[in-house]
Amino acid sequence: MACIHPDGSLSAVALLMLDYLLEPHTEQAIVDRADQPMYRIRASLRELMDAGLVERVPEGYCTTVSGRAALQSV
Amino acid sequence: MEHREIVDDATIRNPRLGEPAPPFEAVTTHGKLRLEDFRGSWLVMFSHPADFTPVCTTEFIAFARIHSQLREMGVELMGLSIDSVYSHIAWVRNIEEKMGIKIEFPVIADLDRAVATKYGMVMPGESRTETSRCVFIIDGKQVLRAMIYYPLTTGRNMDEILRVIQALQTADAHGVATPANWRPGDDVIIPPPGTQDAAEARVKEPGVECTDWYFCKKRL
Repeated sequence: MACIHPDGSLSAVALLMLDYLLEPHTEQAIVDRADQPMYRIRASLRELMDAGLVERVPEGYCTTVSGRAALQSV
Repeated sequence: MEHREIVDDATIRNPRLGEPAPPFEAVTTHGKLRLEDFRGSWLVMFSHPADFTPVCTTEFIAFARIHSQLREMGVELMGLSIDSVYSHIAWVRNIEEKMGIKIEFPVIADLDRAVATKYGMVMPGESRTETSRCVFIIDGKQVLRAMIYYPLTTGRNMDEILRVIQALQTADAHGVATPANWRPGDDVIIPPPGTQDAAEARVKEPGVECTDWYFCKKRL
């Protein structure tokens, strides 16, 4: 249930998060939206941030330019 | 090799109650997880000796059956053994296929024993290659609140695991303690007073049933 598959493709949860984070949101808002436990959202956010697809912003987390490009390429 | 084991035993201190749970990052059936990912929730982390073994299979089914109850109590669940993630995936799929029980909690694949060593889950007197049946109850601040150890031969009692968490959460919420064999709804114990004046007041306190000044119970 990794967020990014070994071949680089994105899981359904990753795509949902990238789309939701086109506007900044907090961890809890993502949990509520994705209906996933907090630990999985935190792990997914870390994975997406390591890949440069999501970044921290004052309001929480937001999709980066690379994340938007990844979303559009699906 | 023998020398290294002795050094490891001497330098790694097992976790203790009331102290921060040792942090880790581990490969699991839900991807790479860190202990800190669970901050804010309670966590039951348990180890089992090996995948595809009968007692462990009964335990996984039993843990899966209390999973939703645990989540209602704000508690997450995570398993661990010294098996690969592929073995875990195959076993979890086998349990669902043969027993009809879906395992929805993550399972750590601790092939290098990094987590098992930090938590003292391997008991060399029982086995040098498997983790014993350990249960670590960690609160939302990531403090280790309870540890229960069972031998390889003996499957765990889910009622007791639930009861311990209910008792700990009740103690935290109300500043009380719980007597032997306590169950939710039973009377709780009020911490003994620390001064003579407080002892005098305690035995006259309404709603409190005192056998003596140091031994008082009340209903929540």
